[in-house]
Amino acid sequence: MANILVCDDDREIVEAIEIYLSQDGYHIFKAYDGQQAIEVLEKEDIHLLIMDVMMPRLDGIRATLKIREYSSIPIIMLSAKSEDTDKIFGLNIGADDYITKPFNPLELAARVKSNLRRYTSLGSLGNENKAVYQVGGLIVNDDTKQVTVDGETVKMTPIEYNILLLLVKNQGRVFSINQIYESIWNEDAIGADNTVAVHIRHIREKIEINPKEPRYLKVVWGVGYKIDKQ
Amino acid sequence: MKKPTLKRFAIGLVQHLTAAVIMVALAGILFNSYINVSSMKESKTYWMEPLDTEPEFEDSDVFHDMFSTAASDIMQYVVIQEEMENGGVFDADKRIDVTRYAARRKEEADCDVTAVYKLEDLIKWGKHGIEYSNRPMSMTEFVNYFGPAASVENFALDEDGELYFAGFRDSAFAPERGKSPAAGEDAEEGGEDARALKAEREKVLEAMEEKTVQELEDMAFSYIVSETAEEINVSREDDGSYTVYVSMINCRYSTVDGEKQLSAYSGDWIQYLKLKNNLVTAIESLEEEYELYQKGQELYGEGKSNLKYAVRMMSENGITRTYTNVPDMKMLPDSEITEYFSEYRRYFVYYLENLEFTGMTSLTEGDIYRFMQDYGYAYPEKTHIWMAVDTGYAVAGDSFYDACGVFERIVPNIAKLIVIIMILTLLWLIIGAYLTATAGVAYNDDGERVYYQNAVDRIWTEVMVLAGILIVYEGIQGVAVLKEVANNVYSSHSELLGMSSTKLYEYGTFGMFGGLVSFGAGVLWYSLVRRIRSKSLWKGSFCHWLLGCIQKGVGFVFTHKNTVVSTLLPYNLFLLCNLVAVFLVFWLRDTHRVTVVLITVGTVFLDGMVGVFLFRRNAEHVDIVEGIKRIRDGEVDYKLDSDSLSGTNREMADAVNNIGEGIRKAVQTSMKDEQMKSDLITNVSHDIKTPLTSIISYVDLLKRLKIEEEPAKSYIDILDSKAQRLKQLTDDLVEASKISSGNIVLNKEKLDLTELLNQAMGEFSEKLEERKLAVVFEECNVPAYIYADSRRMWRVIENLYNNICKYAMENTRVYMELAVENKMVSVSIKNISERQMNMRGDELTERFIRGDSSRTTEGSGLGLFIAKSLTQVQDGTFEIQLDGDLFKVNLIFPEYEEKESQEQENEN
Repeated sequence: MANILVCDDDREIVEAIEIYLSQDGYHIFKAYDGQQAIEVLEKEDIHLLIMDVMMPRLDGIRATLKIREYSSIPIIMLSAKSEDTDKIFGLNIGADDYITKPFNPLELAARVKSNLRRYTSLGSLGNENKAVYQVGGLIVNDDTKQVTVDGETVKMTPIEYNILLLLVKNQGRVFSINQIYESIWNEDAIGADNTVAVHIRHIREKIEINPKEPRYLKVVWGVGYKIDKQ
Repeated sequence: MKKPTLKRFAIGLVQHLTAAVIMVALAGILFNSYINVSSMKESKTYWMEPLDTEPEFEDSDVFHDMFSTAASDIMQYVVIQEEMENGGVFDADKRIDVTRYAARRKEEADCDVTAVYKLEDLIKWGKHGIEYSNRPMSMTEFVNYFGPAASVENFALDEDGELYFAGFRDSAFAPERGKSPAAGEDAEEGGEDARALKAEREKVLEAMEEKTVQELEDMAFSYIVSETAEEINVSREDDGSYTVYVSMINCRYSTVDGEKQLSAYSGDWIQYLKLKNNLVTAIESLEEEYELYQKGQELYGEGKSNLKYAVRMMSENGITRTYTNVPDMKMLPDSEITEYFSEYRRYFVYYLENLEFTGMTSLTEGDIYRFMQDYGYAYPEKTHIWMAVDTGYAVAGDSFYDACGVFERIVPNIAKLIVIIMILTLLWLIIGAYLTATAGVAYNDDGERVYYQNAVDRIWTEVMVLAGILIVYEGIQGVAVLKEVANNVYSSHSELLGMSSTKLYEYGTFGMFGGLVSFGAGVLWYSLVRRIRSKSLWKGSFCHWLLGCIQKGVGFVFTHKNTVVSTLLPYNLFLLCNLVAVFLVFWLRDTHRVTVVLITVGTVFLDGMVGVFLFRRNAEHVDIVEGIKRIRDGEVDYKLDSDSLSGTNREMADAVNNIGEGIRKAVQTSMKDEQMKSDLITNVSHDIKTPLTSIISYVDLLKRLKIEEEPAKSYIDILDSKAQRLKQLTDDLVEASKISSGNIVLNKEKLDLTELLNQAMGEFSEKLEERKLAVVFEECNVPAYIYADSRRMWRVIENLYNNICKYAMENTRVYMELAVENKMVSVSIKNISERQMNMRGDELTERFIRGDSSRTTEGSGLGLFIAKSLTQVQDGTFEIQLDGDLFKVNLIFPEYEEKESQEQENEN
C-alpha cells in the first residue's frame, strides 16, 4: 500500500489523520515540522505528502519549494488559511491540492485517493478511442456509456449522462441553463424551470469529492456551467 | 402635499364667467329700458326704471311725463298754427305787423310806427340771415337825416328858462303826438292857450338865437343818444370833427306796401331804430316758430301721432277756430267732441272760460294752465281743449308707440332677469366664499392641513396693493366706458344696421368688464387671503425686505468690526487721497506746474500699488480656494505653500493646511484601525481553526466508534453540531470583517441575474423541498444582465436562500420577482417568516443579528450583513422590508451596459 507522510505541528491533528488514512489501508509516516518532513522524505519511500502551511522551523511553503527541487510526489496542503490568495499561492508553488482546516475527514481521504491514483496511473490511459473523454480523473466512455472518477464507476441517469457528455465534449465552453435544456431535451427553453440546475447538482454530488468546491463540473455563477480542460 | 391648483383654477373660472354673465344680464336690462322721445323743443331720453314702475305703461311716470310734454307742445303748436295758418293750411301771404308782433314778445317793443311784411318773406329773411350796413355820417348829416332837427318845435324852455331839446314834434309819422290830448285841448279851448303857446314859442326862438347851429345840433344829438344809447357809435376824427356810425338794416324784402326802405316809415332816428329792432325780433322769432311749426306738423300732424287733440277758440267777435289732428272734427259741436275723446283711456277736456277740467289722466288743470301761460295772449277767454292718447297705439312709430313697446319688452321680464342676476350674484358670492375659505390650504400626505403660496404671492405686498388700487381705478374708468357704451346704445340703437356685431360689442364690453374685474379682484383677494393664512403679509412686503437688508447690512458691519478697520477704513482713506490729489491738481494747475506733475505721478503710483496689492490678494484667494477644493475632493495630502502668501491669506493657508493634515491623519488612523481589526479577526480565526480542526476530527472519530448507549451518543451529536457551527462562524466572521474593511478584490464581469437565480434554485432544491417551500419565479426567462463579481453575487443569493431555508414557514410559497426598468435590475424575494420578528428591517442586516434574539439556533447572524455588504460594494442596493410576518428583500443593480463595462475595464 502507499506510504503517506503527514506533517503538522499540531500532534493531535496528525494523530487523527493517521487514524483516518490507516483505516483505508495506507501506511502513515509522521513529521511535526518542515525540516522533519524533508528528513523523512529522504529516508523513506513516500508516495504522498500532506503538509500544514504554518509550522515552526521550516514552514510548509518553503518545505514544498525545497521538495519540488527534486521530487514530484503529490503534495496536499492543509491550512487554516482559507483565503483564495492563500490557495492560489499554495498551488502555484507546487502543491497539488489544498484543503482548508477544519477539514472533512471523508473529503481528505477522497482527495488522497484521487491524487495517488493520478500520480500512479498518470498517462497510462490511451486516448485513441474518440468516444472516450478524459478530464483529470474523470473519464466518460461514450461507447460503453460509462463514467468513472479516479477509476471508480459512477452510476448516472440518462439525462445526467447526456449533460455530462455535452459538457465534457465541449471542454472549456460555458453552457447556460437554456442551452443545456435545448440540446438535451430538444425543446424550446421557454418555461424551463430549475430542472437543469438540479441535475447539475446531482451530477456534481456524484463525481465531485466536495460538490461545493468542484474540480470538474464548475459553476460559473450567473453564466452557466462548464468542465475545464486539464 | 398636493396643491389643488387645477380645481381652484376651474372654480375660479366659473366665478369670473358668472361675473361676466351678471354684467351681460345687467347690460340687457340697461340697454332695453331706454327710450328716446322727441318733442317739439328737445329730444329726451327716458329710462324705464325696472323696479319702480307701474304694471301698466299708461300708469307709469314715463307716460305721464310724455303726455305732459305732448300737452305742452300742443299748446304751443296751436298758437303757432294760429299765427301761420289760415283755414288749416300754411298761409304764406299772411300779413305780419312787426310792431304788433314784437310787442307780444317783448315789453320794450312799443313803437309809434310800424311796417307790415308778408309771413313768407320774413321766414325766408330769417333763414337767409339779417344783414346790416354800418353807415358813417358827419354830425350834421346825422342829425338832419330825417329833416332839420333844429326847428323850434323840438325845443322848449325849462323852469329856469334854459333851452332844451324836448323831442321830435313835427314828424309826419307821429300822428299820436299831433293828436295828443294836449293838442286836442288846445284846439277846444281856443285862443288863450294858443297865445300862450305863441309867447312860449317866441321865447324859445329868442333862446335859440343865442345858440349857434352847432350847439343846437349837439343838443339834438345828445337827445337821440340818450334815447337809443347802444345803437350809435361816435368817433372823433383827426380834424376834431365827429363821425357817427349807425347800424342800418339791409332790407331784403319789401313791405306789403312795396316800400323797400325801412326809413320811409320813420320820422326820426328814435323811431327808426325801434322799428328796426321790432323787425329783427319778428324775423328771428318767426323763423324759430316756423321750425317748431314744421316739427309740430311732423310730430302731431293728422295720422302721425297717437296723441289726439282738439283746441277750439271762440273769440269775442264770434269767430270760432278749431285746431285738431282728428279728421272731421272741426265742425262738430263740443259735446260730440267730448264724447269722441272720452272714449280713449287717457284723455282730458278743459273749458277755459269756466275752468272746467275733466278726464282720465294724471295731468291736472294746473299743469295745463301752466303750459298755456307763455302763450296766454293767443288764447281767448273762451277756449276749449281736448286731448287724449290712443292707448291702442294705432299709429306705429310715434314716441308713445315706441315707449310702450320698450315698456312691454322690459317690464314683464324684469323680474326674471333680476332673479337670474340675484342667483348668479349669490353663486358668485358662494364661490368667492368657498375659494376664500380654501385659499392657500392643502393637505399633505398625512392628511394634515398645510398652507401654501403660489408664485403670485411672492410678489411684494406693496406691488399687490398698487395693483389693487389700479384695479379700482380701472374699474371706475370702466364704468365710465360702460356709460358711454350704454349712451351709444340708446341714442343710436334703431339707426344702426350692423346690429349683430354692435350688439356683440356692447354686451361683450359689459361681459368683459365683469369678467376682468372679477378676475383681477379674485387674484388679489385670494392672494391676500393666502398671505394672511401663511402669515406672510408683512414678511412678503418690500418694507420687510428693505428693513431686513438694512438690518443685515448693519449687523454685518458690526460683526465684522475688524474688517471695517482693515478694509473699509483704508479704502476710504485711499479714496480721500485721490480726491485730495484731484483737487490739488485742479487748484495748482496754473501756478505750480512741477508740483502738479509730482502729485499726478505720485497718485498714479499709489493707485498702481493698490491695484497690484488687490490683484495679489485676489490671486492668493483663488489659490486657497483651489486648495480647499482639492482637499475636499479627497486629496488630503495637498499642501498650500503658505510661505509665498502674505497677511491674512497666509493665516488662512496655514489653517487650511492644518485642516487638511487633520483630515489626512484621521483618514489614515481610521484606515489603519480597520485594517488592524480585519487582520486581528483573520489571525484569531486562524488560531481558532487549528484546535477546531482537532475537535471536529476527534468528534468524527468518536462518531465512527458507533457508540450507541445514551446519553453518550446524544452528547457526541451536540458536540458535532456545535463544532460545525463554530466553523461556520469563524468563516463568516473573516469574510464580514474583510468586506467592512474594504479588503476584498472584486472580479467583475457581465452576468445574468436570472441565470444565477435559476442556478441557485437548483442548488437549493432539496433543502427547499425538505421545508416544503415552493418558489414562484415568473420571470425565469427574462435575461437581466448586471456587471458584478459572480462568486460574490452567488454568496449574496446563497445567503438569502439559506435564510429562507432556515426561517421561512413550512408549506408556504416563496415569491421571486425580477424587473428591468430604467436601466435598473431589481429583484425582490418574499417569504413568510416562521417566527415572529420584533425588529426593523434594517436592524436585520446589522452584524450578529438574527430574527430571534436568543441566538440558540444555527447560523452566525452574519448572513444578511454579508449579503448587504457584498451588494453594496458591487454598486447595488439591498433593503429589507418587514410587514408583519412578510419578509421581503429588494436587490437593485444598475443594468449592464457595453460602454460602461469597457470604460471600467479601461480604468482597471
